[in-house]
Amino acid sequence: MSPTQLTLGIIKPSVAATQAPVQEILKTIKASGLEIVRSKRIFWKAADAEQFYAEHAGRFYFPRLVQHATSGPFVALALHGPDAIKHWRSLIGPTHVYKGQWNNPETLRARYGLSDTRNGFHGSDSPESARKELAQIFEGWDVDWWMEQQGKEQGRHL
Amino acid sequence: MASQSLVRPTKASRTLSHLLLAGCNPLSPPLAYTSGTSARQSPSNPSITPVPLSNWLGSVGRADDVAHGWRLLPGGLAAGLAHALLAYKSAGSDRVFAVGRNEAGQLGIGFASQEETRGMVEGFGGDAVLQAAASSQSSYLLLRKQDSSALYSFGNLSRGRLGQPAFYPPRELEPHEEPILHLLSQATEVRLPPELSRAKALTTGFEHLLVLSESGEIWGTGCNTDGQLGLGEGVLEDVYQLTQMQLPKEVVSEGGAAQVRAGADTSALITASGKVWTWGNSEYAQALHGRKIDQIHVPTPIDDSFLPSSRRIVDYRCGGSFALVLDDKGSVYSAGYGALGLGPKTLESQIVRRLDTLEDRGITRIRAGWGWATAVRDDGNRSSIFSWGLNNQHGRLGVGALARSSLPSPNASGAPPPPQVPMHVYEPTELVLPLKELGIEGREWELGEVECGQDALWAELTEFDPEEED
Repeated sequence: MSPTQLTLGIIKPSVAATQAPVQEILKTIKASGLEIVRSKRIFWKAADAEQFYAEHAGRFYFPRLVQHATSGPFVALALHGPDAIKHWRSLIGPTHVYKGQWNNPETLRARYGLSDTRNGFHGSDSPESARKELAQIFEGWDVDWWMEQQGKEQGRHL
Repeated sequence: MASQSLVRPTKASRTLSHLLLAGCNPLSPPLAYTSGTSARQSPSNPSITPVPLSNWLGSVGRADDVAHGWRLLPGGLAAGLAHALLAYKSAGSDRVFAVGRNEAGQLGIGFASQEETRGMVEGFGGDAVLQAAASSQSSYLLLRKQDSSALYSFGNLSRGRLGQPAFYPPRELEPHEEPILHLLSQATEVRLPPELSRAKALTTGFEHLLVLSESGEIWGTGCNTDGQLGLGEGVLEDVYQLTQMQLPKEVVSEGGAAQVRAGADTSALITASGKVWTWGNSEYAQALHGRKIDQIHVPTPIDDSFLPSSRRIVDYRCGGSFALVLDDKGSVYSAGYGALGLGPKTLESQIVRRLDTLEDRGITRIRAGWGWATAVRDDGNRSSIFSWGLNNQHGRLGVGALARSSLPSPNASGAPPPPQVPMHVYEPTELVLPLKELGIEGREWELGEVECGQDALWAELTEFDPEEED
């Protein structure tokens, strides 16, 4: 069994605007074997989004990332499970919704995304960014301590 | 079921209109049942089918309009992300019915709601509705008001899409304050700049609005992060009030823009002579310059070398990652990515190509949804609708359901399982219009408004009463 990981999943404003799809998506996540260990509804100010997307600053698409992320409230999820980072990214599918709708129609972005910019979901791309992003979103949550406790729990059950 | 949607005309009326839909019926169930009829309305309509607008109108207190008969106004059907506006004329009055999702107050019925609903749009004034428009959590009504125009908007104010600077952007937040949603759930008049006293048309992208004046000038508001408003490289952020674009001198010398178009994050103008200029997003070459361009900041003429020399372009539509062109001889062309209608082998083309399957079909109208498209032939009772591209689970393309491989097995609640539909339709497919269901086979009829929303294809079919004909 692969080691368990924590990752950050975001249901972006365009999808989080209505409750029905959010409920469907939460069910899909649970059914896929990921555990939702923290969730939070957040409405960002521009500065929050700029900090979150700092590594994209200067790219032509940076303003549209930030302006979409701050256009309404979104749902942030801390997801836990074996290989959670890769697992969540394969569940949401490729960044480009326009292509995913034809090539990966079963993925969450293809099903709920509207366009490449309004692709509906975010997933951390590495353990380092997961740690950084979880720390920004779930302020004050000691992720390392939490994972350590999980490890002990699992050890006890072995 | 068909009889439920029939409005028997009064003696004075010579026509009878039906509203048709493919895809998601927003009032079904349970609201479709509330008017006291047993008409069974399915949420999924993989074939184009009549919907009981008459019942819907009756359920919101407009039974009189049903009795007098209604007809959609030209430009009066607007299909947005998951809501629609239906501007109709009945007994000499223009009214607007709104139906569908309403989480941002985009129905303009005085409140926002998580459930889909319907109602009459109130609170706008004018002599006639010139056009209705709807997009992502936003709605617009353009009216003629004596010698000038009046524009109303409602829905989500964010990104400036409603062009209401008195309400958005909000003032700077104090450090302890949290952002909130800013919604207008009632039709609210947009203060038009004095130079825009006479507007003639509206068009909407995902989150931007373009307004065309009678003098051929273009004004825009809303999402501009890809240059959707064509304001030049200096302005690449959202714009909160109607702002005039500078038109190229070649366009000005032709008398300005004759038509204006927007779809998703791309915008276009068409001149009287059929020249098309595009701007905004072209990451898939959907702005028709023969190559991918991330952002186009000012109107730029398309590469129209695909067009035979004797032809003239009459329409351009953008469906997100692809675009369609219609010429004056009824040929349809596409480029970009996705719903090109060129068969399963051609999902991507930076070069504009002709849809040979639509040749000699007498196509007179094209429409693009986000990821899908329709073409219409207007020819009396030989009229037809073709659709292609990405389907949704409710079957918005209207091409029908797939034959089931095994016997349908009712689920736990005893309800039949949802229909299975082809998710990708690579070539234009002619829809089977519900003529038999409406009982008008062999009668005189025509197609009225046809629009592609995100959830559904909406169409109006009007029959002519043979006994009343001149």
